Amino acid sequence: MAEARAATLVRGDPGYPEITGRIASIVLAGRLPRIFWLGFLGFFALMLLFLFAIAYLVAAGVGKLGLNVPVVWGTMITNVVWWIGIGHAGTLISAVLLLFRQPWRNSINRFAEAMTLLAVAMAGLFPILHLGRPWFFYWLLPLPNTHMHWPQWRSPLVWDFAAIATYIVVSLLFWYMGLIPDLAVLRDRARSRGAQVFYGLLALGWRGSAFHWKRHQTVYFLLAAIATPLVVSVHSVVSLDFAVAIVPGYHSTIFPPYFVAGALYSGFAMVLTIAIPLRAAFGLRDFITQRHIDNGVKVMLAAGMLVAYGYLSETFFSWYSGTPYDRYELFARFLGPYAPCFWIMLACNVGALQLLWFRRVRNNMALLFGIALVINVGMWLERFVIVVSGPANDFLPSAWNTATLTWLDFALLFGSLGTFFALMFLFVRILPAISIFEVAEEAHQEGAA
Amino acid sequence: MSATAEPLDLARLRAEAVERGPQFWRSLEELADTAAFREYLHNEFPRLAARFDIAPDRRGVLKLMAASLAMAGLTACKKADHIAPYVDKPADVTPGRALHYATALSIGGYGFGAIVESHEGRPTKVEGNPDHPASLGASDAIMQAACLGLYDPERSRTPTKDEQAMSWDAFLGEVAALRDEIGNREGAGFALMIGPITSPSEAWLIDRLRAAYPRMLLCVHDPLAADGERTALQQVFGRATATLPRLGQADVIVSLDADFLGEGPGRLAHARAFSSRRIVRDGATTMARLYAIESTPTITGASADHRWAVRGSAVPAIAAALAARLGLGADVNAPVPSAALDAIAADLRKAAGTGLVVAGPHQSADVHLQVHAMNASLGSFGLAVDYIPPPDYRPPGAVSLGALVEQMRRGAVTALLVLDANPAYTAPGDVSFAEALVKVPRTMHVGRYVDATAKASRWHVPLAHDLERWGDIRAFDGTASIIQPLVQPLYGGHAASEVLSALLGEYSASPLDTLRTYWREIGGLDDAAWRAAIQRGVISGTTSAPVVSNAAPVLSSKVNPAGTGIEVRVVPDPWLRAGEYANNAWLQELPRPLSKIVWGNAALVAPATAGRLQLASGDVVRVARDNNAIELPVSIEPGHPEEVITIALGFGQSAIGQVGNGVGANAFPLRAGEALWFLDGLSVSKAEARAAVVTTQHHHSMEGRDIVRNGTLAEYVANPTFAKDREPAPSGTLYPPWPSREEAWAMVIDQTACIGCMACVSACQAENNIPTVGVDEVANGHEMHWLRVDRYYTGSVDNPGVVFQPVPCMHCEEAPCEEVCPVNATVHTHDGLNAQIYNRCVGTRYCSQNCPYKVRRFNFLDYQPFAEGTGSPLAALMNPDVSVRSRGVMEKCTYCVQRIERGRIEAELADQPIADGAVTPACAQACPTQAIIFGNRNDPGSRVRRLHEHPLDYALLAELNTRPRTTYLARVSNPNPALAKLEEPVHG
Amino acid sequence: MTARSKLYGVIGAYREPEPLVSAARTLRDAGYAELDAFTPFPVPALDAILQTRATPLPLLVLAGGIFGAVASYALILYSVMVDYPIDVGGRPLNAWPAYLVLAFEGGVLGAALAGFVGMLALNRLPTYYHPIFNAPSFTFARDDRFYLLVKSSDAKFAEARNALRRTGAILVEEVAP
Repeated sequence: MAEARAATLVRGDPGYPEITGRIASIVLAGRLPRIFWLGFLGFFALMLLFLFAIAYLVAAGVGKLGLNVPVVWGTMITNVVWWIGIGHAGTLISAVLLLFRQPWRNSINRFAEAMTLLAVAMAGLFPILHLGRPWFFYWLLPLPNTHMHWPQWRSPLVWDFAAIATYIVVSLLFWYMGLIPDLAVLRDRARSRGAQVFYGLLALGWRGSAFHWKRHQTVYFLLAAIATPLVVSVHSVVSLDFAVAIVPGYHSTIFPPYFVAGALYSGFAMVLTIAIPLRAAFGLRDFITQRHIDNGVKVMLAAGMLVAYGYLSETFFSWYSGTPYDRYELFARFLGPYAPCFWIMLACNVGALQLLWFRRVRNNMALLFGIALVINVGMWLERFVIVVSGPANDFLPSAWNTATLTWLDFALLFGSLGTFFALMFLFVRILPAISIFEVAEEAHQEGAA
Repeated sequence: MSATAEPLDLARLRAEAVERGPQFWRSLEELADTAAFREYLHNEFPRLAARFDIAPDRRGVLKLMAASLAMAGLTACKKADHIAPYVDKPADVTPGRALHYATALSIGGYGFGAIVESHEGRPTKVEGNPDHPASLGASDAIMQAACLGLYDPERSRTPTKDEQAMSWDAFLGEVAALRDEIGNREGAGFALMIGPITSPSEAWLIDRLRAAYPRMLLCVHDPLAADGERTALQQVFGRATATLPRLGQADVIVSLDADFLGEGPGRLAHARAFSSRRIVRDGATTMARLYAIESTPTITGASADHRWAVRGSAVPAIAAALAARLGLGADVNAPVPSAALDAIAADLRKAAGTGLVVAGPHQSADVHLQVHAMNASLGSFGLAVDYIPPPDYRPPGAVSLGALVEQMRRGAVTALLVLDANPAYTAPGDVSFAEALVKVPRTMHVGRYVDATAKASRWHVPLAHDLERWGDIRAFDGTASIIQPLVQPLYGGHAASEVLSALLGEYSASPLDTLRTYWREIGGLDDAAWRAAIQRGVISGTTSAPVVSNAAPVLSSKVNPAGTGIEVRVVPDPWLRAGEYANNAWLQELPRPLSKIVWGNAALVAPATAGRLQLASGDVVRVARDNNAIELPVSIEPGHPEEVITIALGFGQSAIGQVGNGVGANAFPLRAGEALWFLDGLSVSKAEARAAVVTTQHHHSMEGRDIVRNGTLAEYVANPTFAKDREPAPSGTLYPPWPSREEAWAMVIDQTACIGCMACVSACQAENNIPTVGVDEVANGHEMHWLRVDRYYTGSVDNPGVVFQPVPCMHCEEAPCEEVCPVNATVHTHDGLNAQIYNRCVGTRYCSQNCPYKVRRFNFLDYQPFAEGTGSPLAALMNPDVSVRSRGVMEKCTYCVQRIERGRIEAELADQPIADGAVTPACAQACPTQAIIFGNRNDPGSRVRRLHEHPLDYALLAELNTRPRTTYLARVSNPNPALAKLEEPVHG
Repeated sequence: MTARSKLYGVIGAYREPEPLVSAARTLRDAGYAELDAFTPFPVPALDAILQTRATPLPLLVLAGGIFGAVASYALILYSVMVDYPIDVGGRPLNAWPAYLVLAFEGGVLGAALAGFVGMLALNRLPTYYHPIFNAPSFTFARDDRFYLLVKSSDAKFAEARNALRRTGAILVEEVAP
């Protein structure tokens, strides 16, 4: 059994020097494969588009987006929910699996955490861009100001602001905690003076004393224990933006768990979208093994089925509520102006998901990659349908209207994706994408066992 | 301002003006930056002028113009001489304190009494004059938009000859030359064309002119006039006579294609009188009943208890059939069910003297004869209907447009002066005014805009706006008023009387002198009476006395057969009229009462007809007579008569201004000969193109929701609380109630009284500095009106019931919007208002998301840029008591908080509580039927409190427990029980 | 004596964690007190041997959490009850269900910060100079050695070198202060 695990998790039981060497080399190696640069440049171009779109949005006004009264929320809010969801998978992998002592997480948690950070950074950007007067976003903070007023604490948007801010900080701390020993590794292995100083400063003079390790590990686990309820709370709070509102289609008590499941679902889809090319491109098949992928897919499958259940219960309760507003909103969702989005969403999130029951599919990386992409699309559409279809058909029929998306909506969405991946590339280049000390410990335990 | 005779290159100036876009110029001379302009600046703004001399660059010039424009009002407010304030004394301007002046506005030549609010000499808001019979304190959209029209930067600004800027004196020279030319041949060869007027003094001047030049041609060109009634009553009474229905006296009203609530110079008075017999208050168990037979959907039909939509040419048959049932003439078969006509006739007979039949002015003389006979046989004279001498000026011997054009073509006209008319645009298709005009050597046009006629004429002279001229005018019932200026002409316009005086050789006669002379010598007003007249806004004793006559009714035996095939029904646009208001953005963007269409006209067709012709909304149809063809999009209107296409006039102009040019299609060319209102024999074909019909309401059914609650009078008498009973039991709240120690401002809207005329919406726009956003933004759903009037159809699509529901902010006591705002930008005030604090708002739009009534409006883009240096005259239009909102903030109805605060200040000065009725929001003040009642719910004696306790009172979406302060009185209709089994009642 | 007192200590290097652990155990049984170990990854077995005291960090984290939550709620109460009480949608001033969400987030933030700062403080990090790096062969990670340190302050420091050799250290070095 032990051999089996060793065989699947860290293939060929490399010695620690080899492990650290191979991981660190990605960062410290002088040259990288052309594919890296091509990919980076592609995403960097999208990043520039993102910056342009933001400049245009702030200069011209949110009226340039596909918004109107009644549909005053659109793709901006959709992007927030979608990006946060992606972030959550990272935290789940690194924190929750750490608590449950799932050793297989060790080799993927580092970039999962990075993914969290970048995704949440993207998510944090959109609520600000979505404002009518973005330059005043800080009025949501309890700062002394000349308006003699405070944030309106009852507003879910303030909860949102607090939750996302907390989430960013905690993720950052957790990520950095885990990074300190590896930074020390890079410090000691770096050849160039510049790299030594750079990593040396970040490593805070870590020397691996047994006393330090004890405190480090204690807090590391505590942070994990804190991050876990936080993850659940963050997406629950995000879902409250909708659940608290009286808009038909928003006002639903199932939203918090349903959103958390959705977050894991889309998050793991994104993990696969990144992990599959990563291991292919950098020859990390020994660290991100078949078993990692397989476990990830299984989590995705579970979360996906929960989401599917969410759709069912949402539908049922809209009907069971008996209020004409909810029932009509349901009807509009199936047959109304946004119905195409709804049906595509179902096909992606529930349809494509079913393929994952088959081992042959789970072993086929290309196919998995495709499915992961499809599910990313589906989950974006899910959030979009929720955001727009409620207000478009709410209480007074006279006010009903639909908004059509503009080029700016898409520029901002794909621009943010480009930015996310461009930064991901930089991360892989500058910091160890795989936790060195944890993999080493892992391998040693397996060797010993 | 001082003008120069040196001609300017107009073409270049126009180009510059266009490229300069929103920065408008005050006059061509300024634009040209001439010596005259510098001199003028020196006189008016020495400091600016100094700067101007240092930096004469283009930007400097523009900044300067901006400044002068922004102060245009001020310069003009060296107050016009001898005008008297309405209530405030002394008349001196106290900064920050608005003055109110009584005057009258001319719409279609008829007078509508107005009280105009003026801030430091800037007219900003028009209200109705309670003492004036045509407005009774109410107003309509066109009156509300008058101030925008006053400041419209595209109004004509200088006399021109052959497109070269000239001075007024130069024009007087031309007039002198004209007088020399025609003087020795009694005016032969000279033709004067005027628009519709009722002005006694102008009529007097024209009569003197005709006396001086017996052979001159006079043409009164009113493109919206119809002669049927005049002809018929001439035949009956032997002299010109007009019908004056007394709707307040009528128990049973039958409208034969008469839109008395929406059309005509008496519409506001008729609406008030009609609603006074419709509203159901405590104990009332009777209300008037209205049968409407109409050839196109109107708000009158929407208010009717029974309505039949027929083609216009079928109305004569219906009139005859109805008359037959009243024992007049032989029966004919009509498109209205015979049993229905029986019931109507029985109802009319039962009502005897209080039965009233009214016919649309555009219906034929035969119909009007029938109607007169019916009213006579009902004995309604002096009760439900009166006859008066018509107030408008239609001198005998005046020639028709067709006749005049014929003379012009034959070269018999050597000089033509067009005064306040635009025949080049409004002429029917078979009258080619433009090409006839070429044959006239000396052509002069006097008008507010450089319109099609101005462009075709050699001379053009700017005409002063009603708010900047002296004049007089009669109302629909003959009552005369003095038009007094609030400012001196902003753009150097001149009054019509000045032009007429000049033609009489009195070149220096000021309009005031002319007016004074007329009223002193002919009108017999001494100074005291004059002062009283301009203070009250009406001249007492000028109301026409009803014609007492026992003229025997003449019964026309011949009944024109209804046409066959597609019939085009031409209607005046409710706001643009014959197109004279087309450059007014408020009116362009104000949704039409029933179709809710903005910024354009469409071909309205019935669903069945659309089905037969395979037309969908948005398809473009080509409507053509001979070689006059127009293309416009189709809009399918429930309740529209079948095989009929309704097209509104006033659109599709090419030379009115940047706002109105090219909006919609021009239907005037489709007219020909006698066919002015019901056109047949036109070819209607579906074009390949599609074009959007931009509306502000996209869903027309209540989806079975209990939004507009309505019932019949019988239901109400049986169970007065029928509306409340339908309400789900209010769920309790977990929150302790907030104490309301001070006022609890509240509003009650009576849906029985509401006729959907949209006056409230435009009044709100004028009062609260609400921007217009343009057609594209409205298409995006970004319109900004704080108040909207929802229109729902009930019942069948072929003849549905129509209900209106004005929806302002509900000012919920437990407002969902406030709870979700993250920055306290919308909170409750001490007096229970749901306040929006603009400069706190960051624009999350969560409040709008959470507002079940969707009454909040968001500044998606910068709709009112008043950045420094870009001042346009429109800046002077802004109400100084209301902040102009910036981009990215939410806004909504405030119950006119600025008026509440004004009332509070006055009450505190008097050390009194705010009296009931002391505060009236703009919408309530404008409402012709007083359907909107506002007040303090905490005051046990207030009307709003009493109505809130009325059995018909209910809250919109009460089940959401938002506790709205705006509540509604359920709509009560009064269908004829005898007809109930015949057709489904229109309402319910 | 003087020569020795200059030293910070001596280290012995091992290739595997297990020899390190047994060596540490031997020296402790031999009465050495001032020991420390340096490993590329945590070796929990060492904790018992080096008698690392139970750290107060968990309590610190708890305290941080409680403080964060209480402070958040207190700020909210001050703002809505004292500083700017106003009718918002007819809701009560102290709408606790809403405020609890914020208190929770505040608590999480407090706990996380307390943990991180506490760890750095107790570990005296950052420390960019430490004598251990003076050992010629010492490296945290280059070739994954496991070191055992006997500080010069130890009473039996004199025998430390030999003791380390006896435990099978692959090399023993002096560490300059």
